[in-house]
Amino acid sequence: MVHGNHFILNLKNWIKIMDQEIIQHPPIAAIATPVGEGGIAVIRVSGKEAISKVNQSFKGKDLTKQESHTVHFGKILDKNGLPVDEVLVTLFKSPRSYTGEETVEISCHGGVLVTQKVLETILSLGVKPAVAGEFTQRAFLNGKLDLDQAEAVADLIHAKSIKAVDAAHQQLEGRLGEHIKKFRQQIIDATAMIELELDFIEEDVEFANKEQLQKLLEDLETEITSLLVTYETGRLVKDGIKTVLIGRPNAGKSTLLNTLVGTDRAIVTEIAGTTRDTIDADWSYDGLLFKLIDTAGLRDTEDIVEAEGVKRSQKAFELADLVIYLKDLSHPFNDEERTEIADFQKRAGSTPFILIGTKSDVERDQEWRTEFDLKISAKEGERVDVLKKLLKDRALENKHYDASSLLVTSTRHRDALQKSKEHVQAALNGLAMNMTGDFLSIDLRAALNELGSITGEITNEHILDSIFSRFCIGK
Amino acid sequence: MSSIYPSYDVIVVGAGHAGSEAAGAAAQLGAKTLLITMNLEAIAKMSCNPAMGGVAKGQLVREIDALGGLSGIVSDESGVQFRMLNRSKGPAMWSPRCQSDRMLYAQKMREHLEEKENLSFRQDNVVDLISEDGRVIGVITQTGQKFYSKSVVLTSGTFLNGLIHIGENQYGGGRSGERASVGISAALEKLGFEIGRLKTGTPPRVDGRSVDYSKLEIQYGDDDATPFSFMTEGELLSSKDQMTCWIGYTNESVHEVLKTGFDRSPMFNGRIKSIGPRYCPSIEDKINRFADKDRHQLFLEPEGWNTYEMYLNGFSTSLPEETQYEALKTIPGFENVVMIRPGYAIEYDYFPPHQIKRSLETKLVEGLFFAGQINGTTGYEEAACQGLMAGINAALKVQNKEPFILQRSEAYIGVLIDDLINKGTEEPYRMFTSRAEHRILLRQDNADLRLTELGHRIGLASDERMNRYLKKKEAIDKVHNLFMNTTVRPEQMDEMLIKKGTSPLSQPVKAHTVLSRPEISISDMLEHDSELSLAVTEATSDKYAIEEVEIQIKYSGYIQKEFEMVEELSRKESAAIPEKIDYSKIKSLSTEGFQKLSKIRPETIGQASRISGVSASDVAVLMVYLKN
Repeated sequence: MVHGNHFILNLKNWIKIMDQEIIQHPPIAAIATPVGEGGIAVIRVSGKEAISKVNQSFKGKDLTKQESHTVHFGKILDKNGLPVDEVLVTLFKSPRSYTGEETVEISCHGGVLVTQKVLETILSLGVKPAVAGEFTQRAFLNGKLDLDQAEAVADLIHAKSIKAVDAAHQQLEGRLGEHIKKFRQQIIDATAMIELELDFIEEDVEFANKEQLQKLLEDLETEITSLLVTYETGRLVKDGIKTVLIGRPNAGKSTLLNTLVGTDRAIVTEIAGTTRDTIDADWSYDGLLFKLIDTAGLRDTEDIVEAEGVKRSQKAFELADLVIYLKDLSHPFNDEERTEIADFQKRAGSTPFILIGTKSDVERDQEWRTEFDLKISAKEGERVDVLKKLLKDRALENKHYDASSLLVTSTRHRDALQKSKEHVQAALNGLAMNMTGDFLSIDLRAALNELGSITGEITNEHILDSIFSRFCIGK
Repeated sequence: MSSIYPSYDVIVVGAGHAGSEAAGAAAQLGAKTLLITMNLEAIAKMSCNPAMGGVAKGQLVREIDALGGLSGIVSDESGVQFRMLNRSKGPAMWSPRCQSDRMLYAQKMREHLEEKENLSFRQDNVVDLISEDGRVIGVITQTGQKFYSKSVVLTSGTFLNGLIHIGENQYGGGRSGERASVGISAALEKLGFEIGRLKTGTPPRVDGRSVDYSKLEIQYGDDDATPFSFMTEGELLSSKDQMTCWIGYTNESVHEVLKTGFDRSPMFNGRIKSIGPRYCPSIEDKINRFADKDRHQLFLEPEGWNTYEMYLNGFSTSLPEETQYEALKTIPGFENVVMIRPGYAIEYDYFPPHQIKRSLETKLVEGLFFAGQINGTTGYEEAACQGLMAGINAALKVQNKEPFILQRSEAYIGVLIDDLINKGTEEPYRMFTSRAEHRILLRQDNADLRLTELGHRIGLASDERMNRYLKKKEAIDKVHNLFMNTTVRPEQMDEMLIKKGTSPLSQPVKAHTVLSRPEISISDMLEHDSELSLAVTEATSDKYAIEEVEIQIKYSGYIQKEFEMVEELSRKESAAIPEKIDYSKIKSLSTEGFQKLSKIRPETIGQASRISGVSASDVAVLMVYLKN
């Protein structure tokens, strides 16, 4: 039976696709790959007669006579007939493309100038530049994606690590939607209990008692909260863990950063204060993305440029998800430094704070009177693996991290959940104050509306605009 | 076109609660109107229970009245008992209800209709419609006469191919003792209308002299009840001058007797296939579905001042007559009961309401309007308000004016019509307060503030009504200002505040801050602050204006919140969908969404989002499509 149903479902989808007359909008084009990165750039052209448009400036085979899903080598010529670049073009005929429309992808040689010139050539043929999210919007319109999926695609594009991709995939599968639907159902049930008494006061039925209703709402609040707390983890997974390296000048912050990332991103010299600005580098470890921020030292300085760097370091510290304080073990502690560490630790509050001794290879044998989380020598690669694991463990401590669990990763979803939780709390307050059902129901309906804004059931134009504007040009 | 009779602007077919309001409204708007009914003695007849109003229904009657309709006034004139339900809940839940004198109600309605200048009457049975180029131009009656008009309002109630069931006995009839109407359904089907069948039922009537009231609980009316009509002057009857109702219960023996008739019940043996209302089940349905319940509540309601006939609410049945009678006699207090009329079930034709527009005009035939049970609703109040709207719009149509539409945020009437045309109905549709998402704004107390100006603008509400509304509004403003600006002092308030179990004042405060405390009523404050009391008395003697201020201040937080939501929604309501939109061009609509949108053809995005089967992503797709 299960197979039978599945088959029918698939058949239905298939029939739907067959039936579809795809809307072919006027063609649009944009660079689909990040500007200035990578050896090859892709320009996507989608819309009515995209192939024949591109064909006008293409020297090679007649593209209009080729099959869908084929790749062709040739040259893009500008309007004076001069070659702009050697390219590979891939053809996608409607409806078998991302947007559902006729689509051409032109792979040209990366580099800002050449790519830009190819795009300009295409645009000169009467093709409009795509605005942010327009390709996805067309895909959405042509039934290739639904609202939830469209949002998840945005996340996929932005996803920088494997875990983030997982979270995006989960959303694509609608797991979040299922949770929200469950909450909605629970609130609907609670509302129904209330409405019964309001609309059927004259009936000889048993009305929900206060305790029953209270329990239902309290359970609901707990469940929303438990989904809500995954946002912190979800955010870390999606946006990366902002890891701030602080310490006295020349404590080895830049060296550590370079060791983790494996490139000479920060300038490392022996002169204290070399790093005058915060330096960012992305480092992936065990599926997680760490955004390493190498701060300028935190010393008082007369140097204006360096002072600016110190200011930014402070700022980075405030936004950090993880703070690493580095202490050069080759220099003895002074009281000032001890106070400083204690001070940072205090200011970090609930943000995990790791104290690391560096240059352990040249450690002076002495009584530190301070607990180090770890002593390392980055230069020699000593115990760096232990450090990596330590960073991951500390970053995720108390964070409800479970590789398979559902994470809330979008700010919009977090806000809606938060608001609906507040409405449920308001209803609970009302209940405690003996407010009558008609007032409790106002709060519960507001909670429902909030949840509906996640699954798209109560969508409005603002949400759509916001979703589509989050897409980079190109996808 | 030939007829021995003059032609009309509007013909209303049927004179029940929908037809009466439709005819009254159309005539009031200046349309030359003809009301055709099979029986002129049965105008606005209460075919089921002798009561108007109730939860959500009371609000509907207040709205009809505020717009200038008749049901509110007639209810006040013919009521034998008045109550305000849900007093212990917030003001949005307060719902007026009355027991009516069935005969007096019909008589009063006829008197009010006869006062209308442009209204003519005709006793006859309409059997066919005359239409031309997709437009209705008149009706044909069974006497073979043709009556021409520019628009027609059909309010057929349960009469279209009505079939009455009592046990295994079934016969054609529109109501107990009245013939069914045959012909119109077929005419409409021929015009392309989709037809459906619904069922409803009614309990037996008994002779009140044969009941032992010592075995029943008594239920009194309220003193100081609020009238349905904003035009009703002075006080309604005091509770001692009102009639009483009685509450009794079935028991297991009654259930056993009822069960003996189950095999001959048209409900259970498959004779009745159509769907009845879930919230108004027959007694056999109740004991069948809720087998663990050992008793069911019954209300014995008077049918009027001058009759002993009584209505046994809660005992609706279509079981064989002998089973009904035996079961009745088993009910405590009914041992010697005399049954005057048996209960029965009735099946009738209706036309699923996706076929009408917001104006209640049919999409298929121009100038043809449907109101009441023909649209799948149940209840006098639901019928009356549709009749009112159909009558208004039929007249406006003739006058080439824009249709009169009420939004969901403006009136229960708006909720009802919007629900009907978008959600359709599988069972007879009844109004509930929970259907109205903005019910805190749609209260019975402010129906005039919401609607009278609108009613006056279209020419329905009289100048007198408008002036009364303006006067009340002015009084509300004055008293409201007093509470916002007058200072009250601890020495006047504290004793009362402490007695009411709330904290005393530490310093003088503005009066509204005290009033917004849940424990404190406006009369508590006026009693203890003679200065404030004097100022209020000087401002107005209208107790409803004062009550309005109390509600506005006390619930201002909730009301404000709701207004904001309405504003948010109204943006969607104002996003129009082009009439000629081709949904087959929008690819990513779900199959169901596509079907429903093409069938209902919503006028706004807001409306589209409320259609069942149209998912959120369908609405999103539609919005994106319209934007491009």
